[in-house]
Amino acid sequence: MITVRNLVYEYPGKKALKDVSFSIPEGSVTALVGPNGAGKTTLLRCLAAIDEPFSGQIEIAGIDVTAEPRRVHRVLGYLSDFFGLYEDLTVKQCLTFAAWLHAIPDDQVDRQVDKVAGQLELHPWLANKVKNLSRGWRQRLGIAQAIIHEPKIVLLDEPAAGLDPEARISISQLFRDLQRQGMTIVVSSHILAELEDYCTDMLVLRDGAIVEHRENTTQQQAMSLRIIFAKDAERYHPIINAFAGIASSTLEGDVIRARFTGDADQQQELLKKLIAEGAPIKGFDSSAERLQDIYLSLGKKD
Amino acid sequence: MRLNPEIQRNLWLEFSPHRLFAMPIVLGLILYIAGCANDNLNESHAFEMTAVTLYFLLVKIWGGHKAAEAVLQEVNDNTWDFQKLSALSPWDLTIGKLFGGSSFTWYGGLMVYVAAVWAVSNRLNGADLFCYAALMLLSGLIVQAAALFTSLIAVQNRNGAHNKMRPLPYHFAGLVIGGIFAIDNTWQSIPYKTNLQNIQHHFISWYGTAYELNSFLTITALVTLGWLVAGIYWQMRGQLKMPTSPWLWLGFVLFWIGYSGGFTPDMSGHPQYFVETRGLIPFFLSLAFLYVITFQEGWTTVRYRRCLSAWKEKHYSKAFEICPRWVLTYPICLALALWIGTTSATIFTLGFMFFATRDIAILHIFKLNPENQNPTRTTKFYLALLYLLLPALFAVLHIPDGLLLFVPSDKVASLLSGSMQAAIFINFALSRWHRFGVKAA
Repeated sequence: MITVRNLVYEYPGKKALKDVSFSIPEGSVTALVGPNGAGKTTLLRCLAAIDEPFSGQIEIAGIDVTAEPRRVHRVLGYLSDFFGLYEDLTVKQCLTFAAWLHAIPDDQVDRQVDKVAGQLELHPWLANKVKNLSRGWRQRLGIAQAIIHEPKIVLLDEPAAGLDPEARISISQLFRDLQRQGMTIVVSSHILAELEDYCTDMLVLRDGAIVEHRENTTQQQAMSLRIIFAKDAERYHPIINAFAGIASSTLEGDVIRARFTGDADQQQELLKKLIAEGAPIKGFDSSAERLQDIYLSLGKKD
Repeated sequence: MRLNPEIQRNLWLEFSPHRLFAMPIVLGLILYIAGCANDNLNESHAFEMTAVTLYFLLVKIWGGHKAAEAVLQEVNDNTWDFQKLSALSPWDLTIGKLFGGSSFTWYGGLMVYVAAVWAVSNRLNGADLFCYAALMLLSGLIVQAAALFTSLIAVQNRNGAHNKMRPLPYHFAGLVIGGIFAIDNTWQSIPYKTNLQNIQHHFISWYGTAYELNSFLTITALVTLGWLVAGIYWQMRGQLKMPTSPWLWLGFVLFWIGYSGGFTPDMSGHPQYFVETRGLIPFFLSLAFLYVITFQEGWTTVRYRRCLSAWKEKHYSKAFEICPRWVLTYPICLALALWIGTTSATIFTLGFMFFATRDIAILHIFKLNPENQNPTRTTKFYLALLYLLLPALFAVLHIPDGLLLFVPSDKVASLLSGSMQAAIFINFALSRWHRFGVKAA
């Protein structure tokens, strides 16, 4: 659905994106993560055909973004991190205006406004002026405006920033619903825990380059192991590292953390082997690997 | 048929029932009071003056401000990206922004416009009345179009800065451009002016043919408005990331060069002066365009590198599209300077070109420094130093020859100084380019 090849974006004297290449499958929800200044917003703006890259190719739903930006605008919805709203309009007027901007036929405008208001639970607020809305409702309205034309692709830059936990849960649910409807979603966020709930893929951007692209994270979920030793943890670290299924491991005092991609039998074998070697283990736990673990393990790789 | 969404949005915001009623009541009262100042309402100068003043305040002051902030407010409020990602065409945006924000001011403006034309119909008729009415309307539209156009250039040059943009400079630019066509209009409205008929029938010579001044001004205003609307449309295309080839800019420059060339008095009996005078206005106009585009266009090193990269890959049309417009304007200026230089008794136009080249090189030196936060302002500061402070210093020290080193003229000292300064600064700019411009970090 989204294919990026050798994308380079430059500001005067600085490369914001360095030869970025990746592809995102249709119907996925991709978490775009990385530290501040990594180039996430620049990448999203290039994908949305708002900023023109220095070189490289972007194809969205089969459309060359640099050659036909206007066609791309029709098939995607984008919500920037610092989006604005028309404060003096009512919520209904905002949604109607958004429908007109996206050339939704007159006879479908009201139906579409009603539908998107329902999806975002905005019905009680339709007659209210935007300036009277709280942060959470403003965020919902922003998302509603971005998806009113039912785009194939939705790009969201920090959509949950500043939301209370209830609103975040509601937005997670919305993303799952949108994915079920067949939309491809790219979400940039700092809050990895919230992405956990709905992301299928993860794209890690650091210093303008892709450092990791995990596809289908939910199906190929690795385990995060934590082995606590009474003493001599460093002696057993090489044994763990060499074991089949261990993708990476770190030693922190008497604790070894490992990313484990093997199955339950292999996990049992690992424990058996360590006990057979006489390892003074005083604690062992395993849990499904979280995006945060993946992200942090990538940081340690560097 | 659906109304332009941007106009509809502004109708929601601007046309409350209260405002709809208040505007005609307030305007009607003011005009009635003005009308009562004279015995006969239809012949009242006070009435006409009041209507013209109200039109100026509503359409040019209030409406000009609304036009200047039409896009700036969207940028400041972070709603502009939302509009850019819509299905609106550049024309939709042009019409929406030009008439949307100022729609309420036109609501009142058209009322006083009709009143002013009705009042003036007492002393003008036929073609004169038509020109008066047309110029009054066009000058209002020009103020708003120029304000919107210049504000769009500012948005294009913003380069991701997050400071709020104020509409005042662009509104002022609109008033200056629109003011050119309001002079005659306002003049006619001054009461108790003597010999009014003579003023109405002034003639103007253009390419040797006499044209009635008002008709000529009306057509010029119409053409100016056409260029401004085309400019807004082109800017909107750029905002929507659609291709914007430089042909419009080149057409604009060549059109006004041709237009201004028509104002030269016929000196065919003196060929040396004929060429000199025929070419001078177009030359200085092209020079003004060169400075304006060089300083106002938001080019960066990235744009140069993209242009060179497209050229190397033999994508010539792409390179032409990306190419900074000053690069295309410079040869036109130079050609005019050389034409004047080779066909007349003077070569001082070459002096102007040397100094212009130096100034462009200085701007590049600062623009190529990634540390410089505001290279255009720094350049303007140094140019003020070179053109004002140093000549003033030589003047107070009574060294007239020193003045020639920093002011364009046809004297050898000035030509030599200009060419040497241009060479030195070009060399400096090139070294900056090799240091900072060739490759990004």
